[in-house]
Amino acid sequence: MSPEYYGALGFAALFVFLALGAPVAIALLIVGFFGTVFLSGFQAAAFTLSGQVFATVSVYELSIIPLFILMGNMASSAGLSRDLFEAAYKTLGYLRGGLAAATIVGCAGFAALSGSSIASAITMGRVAYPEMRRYNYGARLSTGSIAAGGTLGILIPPSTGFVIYAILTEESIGRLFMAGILPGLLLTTMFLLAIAVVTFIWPEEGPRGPQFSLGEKIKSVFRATGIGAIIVITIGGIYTGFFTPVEAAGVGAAFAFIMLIVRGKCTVKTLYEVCSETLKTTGMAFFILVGANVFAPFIALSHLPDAIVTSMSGLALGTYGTLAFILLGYIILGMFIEGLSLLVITLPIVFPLVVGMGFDPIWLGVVMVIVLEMGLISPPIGVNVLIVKSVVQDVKIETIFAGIMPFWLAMIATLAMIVIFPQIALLIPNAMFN
Amino acid sequence: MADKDQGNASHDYSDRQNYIEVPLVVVGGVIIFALMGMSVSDALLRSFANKPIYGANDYIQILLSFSVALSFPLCVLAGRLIAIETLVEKLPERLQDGLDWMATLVGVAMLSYVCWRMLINGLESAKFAETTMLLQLPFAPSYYALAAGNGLSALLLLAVRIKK
Repeated sequence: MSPEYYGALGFAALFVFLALGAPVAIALLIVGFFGTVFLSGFQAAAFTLSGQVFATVSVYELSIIPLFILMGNMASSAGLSRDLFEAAYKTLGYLRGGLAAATIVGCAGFAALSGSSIASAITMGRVAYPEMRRYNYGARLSTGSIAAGGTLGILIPPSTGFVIYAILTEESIGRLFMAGILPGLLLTTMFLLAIAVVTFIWPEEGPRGPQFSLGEKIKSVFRATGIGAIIVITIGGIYTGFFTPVEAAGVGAAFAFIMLIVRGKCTVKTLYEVCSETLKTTGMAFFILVGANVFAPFIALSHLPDAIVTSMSGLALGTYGTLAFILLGYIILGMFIEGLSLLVITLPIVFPLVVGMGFDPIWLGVVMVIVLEMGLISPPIGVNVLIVKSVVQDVKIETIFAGIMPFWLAMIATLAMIVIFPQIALLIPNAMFN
Repeated sequence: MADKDQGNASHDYSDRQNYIEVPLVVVGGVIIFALMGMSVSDALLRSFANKPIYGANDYIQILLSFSVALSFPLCVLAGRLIAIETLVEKLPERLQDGLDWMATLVGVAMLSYVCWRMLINGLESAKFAETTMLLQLPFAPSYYALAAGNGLSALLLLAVRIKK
């Protein structure tokens, strides 16, 4: 049997394991380990396994993961996410669909503190949904805006998705973070546009909220400066080269800790909960990374990526045709497989293929994260939709999926713009490094 | 009576879970905060006083390996291992149960093997004095911590399944 055949068999085995409900990290470890046994022998596989496990958990750059998770958890406990929603609510709430717009803006701001879409959806869901219900918002728009807004978490830096992509492809974390800024803002704008269209067609979905005085608006915006300061310190620090991404994560976490103390919320219970949540999420991310780093050498050994590149070029789809084919595949797979897992499973194949076609690897990272975001809100799984459902129990899941549709179309439009105009993603990282 | 027994059993399990979780969170929390402190101090001292902490990256490497070792069992205990259950949920309950047991046993075997490999590597690392670049901090304790983390994760994976 040729190595390529073992590679294909390995993928098939991986999908069988996943379909049978095995944890993704364990499935990756098993297939990666036994695949290497078949290709290089037991001794080599044992060395690869232990070497890769240790290498993954002792990489300096990866300390960014627990630090950014810590920052997000502390900012959330300090009430910074609520402040952000309050500020957006008081300035935009009086508009038609204004509360849904405030939710999107709140999610975008919180995304700059948390690299997780799920954390964004839960946090904003708890804060924004009761307000939208109070002002008789339609269930579709209110839940759809929370689920879609949450997806901004993995696009706007800091993003766990970008960190994992950077580590697996040996790209710069700083450049990827910078590349996420403009697409993140563009997607936020497109979401706001989607709300405007929905409320124009169905005004009853987003009635006007209360009008606040200028003084109240200024006060709420001033209170949200804490979150603004953290964003400026972390993202600005990375952009100017003042901090490395790891240092920015540490400084951001320390600033969020100071906010926790200043606001009198630094109790033993809060600290315990913050640490517990940080460690559990860190464990989840590192389990996947360890599995991916054991699986990737097996795929490289099998030469499967080369074989796929050769056969794809034989299809004569052209560069953009092949890219469209791959993205469509991601959108379909994203409906069934959790985003982070999909990323680590497919990167060893897709990355060399797409970069080999001449596309920029940083741009590819942004495109892949957007496609994974779409998976987060696509039926039948849509992790973010399930999360919103857990927060909003009185709304049917079908209603949430219906509410997602305008935002899903906004994502498609954003994706098309970034594919047509790669500079949207590359402008800031190129400016930063030039 | 049965309800009372069940209540007691559940309470006992929760107590046992706390005995495992609390020390892991407390030690892990201290390490994560140390990681934060080291990163901030190094960045600020370098930027404002031009005096970075010598070997800060080495400390961070070691702290990270310990924090991840502690995070693995916590992740397993909290049921946070990501799995795709769309297809399995549509199967009959008994078959689901069987598959879940199978996935658990395979996971336990794999994590136990990783634990064993980490232990072997730790011993070899100690024997050959494998250290970090600048401060020559030994890697062996990190290997042992990872062995313990993976071993405990394997045990907890089994325990959580038995409790189901």
